Parts: sequence; C-alpha cells; structure tokens
Amino acid sequence: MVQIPSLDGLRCPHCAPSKNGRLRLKRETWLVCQEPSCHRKYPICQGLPVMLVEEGEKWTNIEVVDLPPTSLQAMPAVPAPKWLARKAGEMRITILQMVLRAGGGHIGGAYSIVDVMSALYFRVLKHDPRDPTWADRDRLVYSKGHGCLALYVVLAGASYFPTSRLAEFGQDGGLLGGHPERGHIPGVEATTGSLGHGLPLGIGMALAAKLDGSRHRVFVVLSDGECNEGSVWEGFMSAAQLKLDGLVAIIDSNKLESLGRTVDIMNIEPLGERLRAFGWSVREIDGHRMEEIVEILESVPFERGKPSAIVAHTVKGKGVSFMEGVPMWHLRGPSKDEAQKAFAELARSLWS
Amino acid sequence: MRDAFAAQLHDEMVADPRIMLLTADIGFKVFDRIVSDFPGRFINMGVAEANMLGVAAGLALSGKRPVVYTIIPFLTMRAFEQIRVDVCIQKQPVTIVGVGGGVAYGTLGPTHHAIEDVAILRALPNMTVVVPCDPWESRQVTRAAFRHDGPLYLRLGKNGEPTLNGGDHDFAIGRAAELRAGHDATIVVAGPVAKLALEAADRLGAAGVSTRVLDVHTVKPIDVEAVLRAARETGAVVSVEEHSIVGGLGSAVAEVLAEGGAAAPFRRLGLRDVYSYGVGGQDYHLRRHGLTVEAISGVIMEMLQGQESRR
Repeated sequence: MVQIPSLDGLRCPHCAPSKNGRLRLKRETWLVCQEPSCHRKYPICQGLPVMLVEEGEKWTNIEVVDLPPTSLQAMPAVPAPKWLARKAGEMRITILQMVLRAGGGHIGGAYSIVDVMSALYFRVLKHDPRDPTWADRDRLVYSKGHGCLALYVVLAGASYFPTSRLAEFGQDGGLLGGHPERGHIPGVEATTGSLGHGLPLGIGMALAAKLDGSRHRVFVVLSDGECNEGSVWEGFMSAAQLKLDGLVAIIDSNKLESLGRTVDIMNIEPLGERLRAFGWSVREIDGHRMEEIVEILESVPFERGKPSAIVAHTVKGKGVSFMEGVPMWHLRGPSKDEAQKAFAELARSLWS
Repeated sequence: MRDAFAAQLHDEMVADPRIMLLTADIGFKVFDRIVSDFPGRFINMGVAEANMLGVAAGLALSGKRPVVYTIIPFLTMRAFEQIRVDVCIQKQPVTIVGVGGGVAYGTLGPTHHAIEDVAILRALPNMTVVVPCDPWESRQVTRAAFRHDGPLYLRLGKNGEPTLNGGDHDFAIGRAAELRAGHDATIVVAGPVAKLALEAADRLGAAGVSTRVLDVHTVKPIDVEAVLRAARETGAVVSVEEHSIVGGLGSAVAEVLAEGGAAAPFRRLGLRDVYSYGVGGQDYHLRRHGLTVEAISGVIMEMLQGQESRR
C-alpha cells in the first residue's frame, strides 16, 4: 500500500500562486496538475511526490518534464533483479528528500549500499514485517549505523512502518535518528552507530541460532572504513573459530572513509585475501550489479563450517555524478542547486 | 568467592538452559564442572574482550542469558564501550562477572588491580553493580542475577575469603545487610574488606564504641534508606572500599548523605586517587592505603572525639 502524505493545500509549484494548480493523485503513481494550461505530472516515489521539496511553508519545484509513466505496483512475490534495481533507484531519491528535509545526513555511504539493501530486504531475507520478533526470522545487523538512510528506506519499503514516516528523519521527537535505535524503530535488530560493534553482535546471534539448531541466518552489513576497528578483526577470528556458517558479513567496500581514501588512512587491502586468511569463505562482487548481488546473496553459505563474507565493491555516492567517490559527501546536506542536479540525474535514470 | 560463584553458576545452569558462560581465556580449572557438564554452553572466546562482550549481547538479543568472566580491568575497561552500547543502551540481561576486585591480584601489579571499575560501571544507566563480601553473598548474587532484568556487574575478589555473612538475612539485590548492630558510628562497606570493618567494629566495641557495620553489597542502586537511617541513628559514617575513593561506594554514600540532608560526619576510606605501584601481596597494598583494622577504627575514634570536642 503506497502511503501518500496529505495532499490538502498542495499546489503545483509551477502554476501556483498565479493559477489554481491543484494536484490530483493518479494511479498512486503521479500527481497531476489540474490547471488545463499546465497538466504537469509529478511522479510519486516511495509514496512521496519527488518533485516537491518543503522549504518552510513553501514548496519549491525540481522540474522534470514529459516523464514516461511508471507504476509502483505491489511487490512481486520474488522480485526480479530489474525490479530491485529500480526500487533502489527510487530509494535514492527518497534518501535525497530525507537529507534535504533534515538538512544533512550520511548520504554517500547510503548510496553505496542501497542496491545490496534492496536485494536483502525485498528478496533474500526471510522476515515478516507484520511480526518483527518472529523467532525464525533472518537477522540483519546494520553495523555501519551512520549509513542508516539506506536501512530506513528498505524498512519502510518492506512496511515495517509507513513510508510517510521517513519524513521524520532527524526531526525532534521523530522516528528516525542519525543512527538506528533498536526498540525505537520497528525492524531494527540492534542499536548501532559506534563502529566495530555489529560483527560481534551478529556472531552472538549466529551462535545462539547454531546452539538452538535454528536455521535462520544472520547478516551483518559493515563499512570498509569500519574495518579500521580492532574489534572487527577480533570478530573475524572469532566467527571462523566458532565455524558459524549461518553468519554472512557484507562489507560495503566503497574505498572511502570520512576524511579520505581508506587505502591512505588505514589500509585494509587486500580485504578479500585477508578474510580468506582469517578463515572465511569470501566472494567479491560489484555491489551495484543487481543480478550479481542477488545471485551471490542467494548462494550463502558458500562453504559448510565457514562464515561467509561478501566484499561488495561499491562507489560512495553512487547514482549522482558529483557525489561519486568524493569524500565530502560522506556527511553533507546538499544545497538546493545540488539537490536539483542530483534529483535530475537520479530521475533521468529512472524515468527516461 | 570465585569457587562459590562457579558452584552456584553450575546449579543455575542445571536449572536454566538459557545460561551460557563466556570467558576470555581466564579461569584455569575454575569451571571444570561446567565445561564437562554443559559442553557447548561454555566458550573460551580467547583474549578478545571487546568481541566477547559483543557476542554476549548478541546471545542475549537471541534469548540467551550469557555470563562473561575475566579479570576486571580487561573486562570492564578494555571492553567498556561494548558494555555501554551493546549491553546497557540495549538493556540486555548480560551478567558481567569480574574477578580480582581492588588489589586482590596483589603482586601482579597495577595493570591487574581494579580500583576504578565500580565508578565507571556505576555511571552507566541500566547497570546494576553488586560487590559481595564473601562466598555466601557471591552465591546469593549469582542466584539473583538470573532473576534480574537487565545488565548486572558482579565484582568478585579472588578465592579463600572467609564467610562473614552467616546467611542470617535474606539476600536481595538493592537491600543492604546489617552485619553488626551499633549505635555510635557506622562503617558502610562493600566487598571482602568487610572483614576489616567487622574487626574494627570489634576493636571499637572493646573501647566502648558501639559500631554498626552496614554491608552495601549493591552499590547501585544503593539502599538509600539504610544509609540515611545509619546516619540518623549512629551519627557518624565511614565508607570502606577496596577501590578508589573517586566514584565508588564512598561517592555513592556521599551522594545519598548530601541529598538526604544528613548532617552526620562522614569519611571515605579507600585508595586516595592513586594507583598502587610497587610489589606486594593484597594485604601489603591494602596497608599502604590505610585499609587496615587500626586505620578504620582510628578514623572513627577521631571522628567521635571531634564531635565530642565540638560539644
């Protein structure tokens, strides 16, 4: 069910205030301006009108004209890679909206992992958003907590909470903070944000599953910068020692950390080889090629008796040319101009 | 204390299959019965305390009741942020058991002494801090820990401590026990140094000073009522702890007295914001920091004489 925030009083930013410019919802996919001389269409992305950015009480326009129709149909039972990739594209736009509204956020590291997250939450994970504490669910520990925007959009997309609540990101008293909090946000398995914690937590969960003879799996999403932390390497040793083949570590290897290139700051390369030496079964993938992501995620565990590691080679800020590979976009609120440029690029890849 | 804890833990593990024991390569022969009776529920996690605490929290998040055990500084200070984030912020029922409270590891030196642990763990929201004084109390806390909701820190001494508390009171987390009645002064104490407190009370008693010994085994949440009652009824309070006087039992008692409006004279005995350098056994280090029967009773005599002279 696509959730639409209140349309009352919403006017076409192109026509208003000179003309009527009322917006009408069409097929839950578009907002269409009712002014005959205009008839501009605004796509709905993840339930929110993507054209519209709230600035105080004013709606400003990020204009894209003559867009082809698209639809947000109900999720297929087993979404194809193409669907998952498109969904990830929509979620990039939603993330942009959230960052704009909040005035900032860790956008770069959200864009690098959102394709993998799309595959996980909409296809790979065995979970039930209507029953978040279902004992046999697969667990996902989002260890790179600062990249929470990518987690929030997939949780909303999977209906852990209404998409409209994504607007509460970074708002006083809102649902979604700058790092995920367990118990506060439905679907969040562990409070993260301090780096180097998620892997040991995931090991504990996988160990409990193994001892209980339960077949659910535990996925831990780490950043490559996070692998600077010693506790991550304790965890790498420990998981292999405990032979936890129900554990899957996914490293978002976007090659950048806060202030620069990981290779210049604290080199963890060759990460795949290091993990193999630590006793893990390792696959390296292009973290933006959805067929490859799905194929590898669906083939875990790679070896019996060994934890699985997926080194996802990604691009920080993926999808927006001027963010890609630029350290500044680790944590930044785009200006209005930057947002418009970013939106135009993201929209073009979806609707052209 | 250590063996009493291990024995009680074994009993609890028989009764509750959720309980697991993780250690960071410490506890030679201490857990042999647990290892043989519960294979798979005892795991030596190696010398990697941060990972051990995280794994324990992960186990708790999956419905287990994990116990983590090793020497206090490595358990509580190396892995402090894991205790904070993984255990306390997420309010997980992990029982954190540290061995070697205070200067119990004597000759092993200041790296192995634990004189700040109570202070730092007391500062963590959701954390309960228990410092038993003898083997009997160690068993009681261990038993109560698994009926307790949320994180709990159990600070053990080492082994061979005498029984001070004959089991003549019902143990409850958060309720102080009166080990000795008295009406002229109170020694508030936690941990095996309660032995010194009792001997000081004997000595004072012989000199005609009736001294209460209040065993505040639960430093957090502290038994406010018992501390204020002691101040009101005896008029002079001394805290005794095998810990720095900064942030531990003495600080907790001071907070209670100040906020409770108690006018009683108060002194803290413990390590006076110093590390205990140099080589020596536990008693040697205790003596160097004024944790002796003579010093405790001397301080109380001084305080009472001070009160006398002001009258």
